[in-house]
Amino acid sequence: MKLWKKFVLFTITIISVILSCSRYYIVKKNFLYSIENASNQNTNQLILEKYMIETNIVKIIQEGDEVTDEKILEYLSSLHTNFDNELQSFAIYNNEYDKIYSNIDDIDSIDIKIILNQEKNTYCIRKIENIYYMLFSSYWNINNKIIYIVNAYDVSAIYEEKNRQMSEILFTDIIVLVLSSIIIFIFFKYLTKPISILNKTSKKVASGEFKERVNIQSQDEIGELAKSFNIMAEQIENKINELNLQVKQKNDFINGFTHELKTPMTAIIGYTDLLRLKKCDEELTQKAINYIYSETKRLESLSFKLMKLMSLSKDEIKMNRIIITDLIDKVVKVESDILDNIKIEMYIEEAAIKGDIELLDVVIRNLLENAKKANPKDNKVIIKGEKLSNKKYRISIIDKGNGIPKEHINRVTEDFYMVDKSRSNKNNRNWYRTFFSKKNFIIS
Amino acid sequence: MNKILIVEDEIAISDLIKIELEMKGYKCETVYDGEKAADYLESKKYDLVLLDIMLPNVDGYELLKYIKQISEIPVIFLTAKNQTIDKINGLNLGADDYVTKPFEVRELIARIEAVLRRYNKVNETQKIYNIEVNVVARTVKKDGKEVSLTPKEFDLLELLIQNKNFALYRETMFEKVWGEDFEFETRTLDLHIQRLRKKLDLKDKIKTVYKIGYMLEV
Repeated sequence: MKLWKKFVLFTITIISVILSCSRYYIVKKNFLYSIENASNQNTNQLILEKYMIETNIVKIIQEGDEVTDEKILEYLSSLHTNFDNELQSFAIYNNEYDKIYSNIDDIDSIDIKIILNQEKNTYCIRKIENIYYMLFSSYWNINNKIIYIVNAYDVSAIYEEKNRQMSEILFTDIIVLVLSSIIIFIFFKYLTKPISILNKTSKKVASGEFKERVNIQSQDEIGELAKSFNIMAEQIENKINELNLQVKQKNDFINGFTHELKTPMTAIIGYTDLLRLKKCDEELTQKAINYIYSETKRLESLSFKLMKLMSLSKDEIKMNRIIITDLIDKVVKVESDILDNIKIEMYIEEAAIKGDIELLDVVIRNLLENAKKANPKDNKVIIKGEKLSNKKYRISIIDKGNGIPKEHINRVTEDFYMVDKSRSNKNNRNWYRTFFSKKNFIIS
Repeated sequence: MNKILIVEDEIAISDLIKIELEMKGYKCETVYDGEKAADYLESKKYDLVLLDIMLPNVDGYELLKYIKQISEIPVIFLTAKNQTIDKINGLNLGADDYVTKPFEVRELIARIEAVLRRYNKVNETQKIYNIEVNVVARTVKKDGKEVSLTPKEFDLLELLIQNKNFALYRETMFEKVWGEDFEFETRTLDLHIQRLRKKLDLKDKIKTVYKIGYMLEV
């Protein structure tokens, strides 16, 4: 069941229950009040009538006379002529509860004893022939004979009024309920519209459209939810982008690495296959073996680089106090053989820094070797060390070589990142991986 | 004989291809960067170019565009780039084939020959003495009359012809014909050699080399 259906059903049920209870209460109250009024009025009239009947009956039945039903009837017939239509409905019973007279049709259909025995000034309401009567009873003791008289007042109008009110209430209630259902439905639709927007957007995001956002400006809870949703979507998008970048970097790394593996492998496989199929002469055999050796060496150094990289990425960085000149001197001493005809110029400002000596060693050597491969025009590499403000120290390796193409500059810190050699000079081809994160450059 | 230009900056590989091709009787020239390759192609005439993609100065793609402008010379790309998009790029630019590293030289040679055949620069049939071998239809004719060979016999004959005048090691011969999954059986190889000798009347030409194996002398 949809939320709006639940909501509409629930509110309509509540409204109708409350509405009908209150209406019923009011109608009931009205009805009781009318009955009360009628009974007061009727009681007054009853007293009058009673008095009237009493005075008349005395005229006919003298004191000491035996009271018989016939005499009473006689009296009543005179009464009929005297009062005619003014007289209300009434009935007279003798002490054995036998009916002497009645001008109410079908009064026998009710249990008259209860009415006759009811207390003074109280009444019963009975429905006789579709007319509601308010029945009072009283009695006289005439010459030791008890005569009962039952006065009946028509109160059907009150009942009719009640029924009319009830049907009117029913009618208006139905209209109210229908109208309120429609209003509640529209209002609820309006309220939940942002939710369905959120729902649609969530589905889009779930299906991979991470750029999707909701535009809900309201200040209520749903507006807050929308804001949170957007923040979440933003986070997801960022995370996904990050992951994609990582995957791409990984792919690039694998591509770069396998490319470096494939070349020596092709040569090694080729030469060994040559040697093991054909009996070659001494010269060719020697040549092939030399190639196999040098290419295997290349593979070996590649595997060393890879192992170094793996161990570096695992270990914690150990921060020690380093005297900068010691570090540079050590590096230059090792590298001077490799750098061959490249001259190193140094402008080092003396300082003690904190850092991982092994990592810094690798970085500087790597940069120096890269500088050599960049084929500097003046065969010169400059190492510059300078103190910066806020307790930082900068080491720069400067060469006037080919340089790294602009589009690759921001990726050189990735593992085994390699500038495609076809896009630049062959000498530029190298591991630009500097084996460590940028943060190591900035060491207080 | 066909002349092939090898444009490859890895000297070890360049040399390997050159050695193998020259053994087969091709004339080869090697060049190590794109710019020089363009110069060579302008001044000399070649039957086929083996072209590395990642080259210094001018890359293989650029060079290929240039080659296709000046001549109809067939080009085979030779590269470590093995992603589908690289292959598609290469072939779209008009390369005739694409070989990825690491490759076996045998495969490279087979592809070179296939491309050359397409350009009608090499005959489908090779003649040795009175024997004609069609490597495409895999049929053998002796004195114009067809001789039926089993597939393995044909493979063996092809191997001997490809490496004619070289003594071949038995184990490797067996492996190249029967594949690496089979355990070497000298009797199987010997039997097939005998059958070849008999069927094609090459008793004197397919020589047994002591301690090594066999050699087809031409």
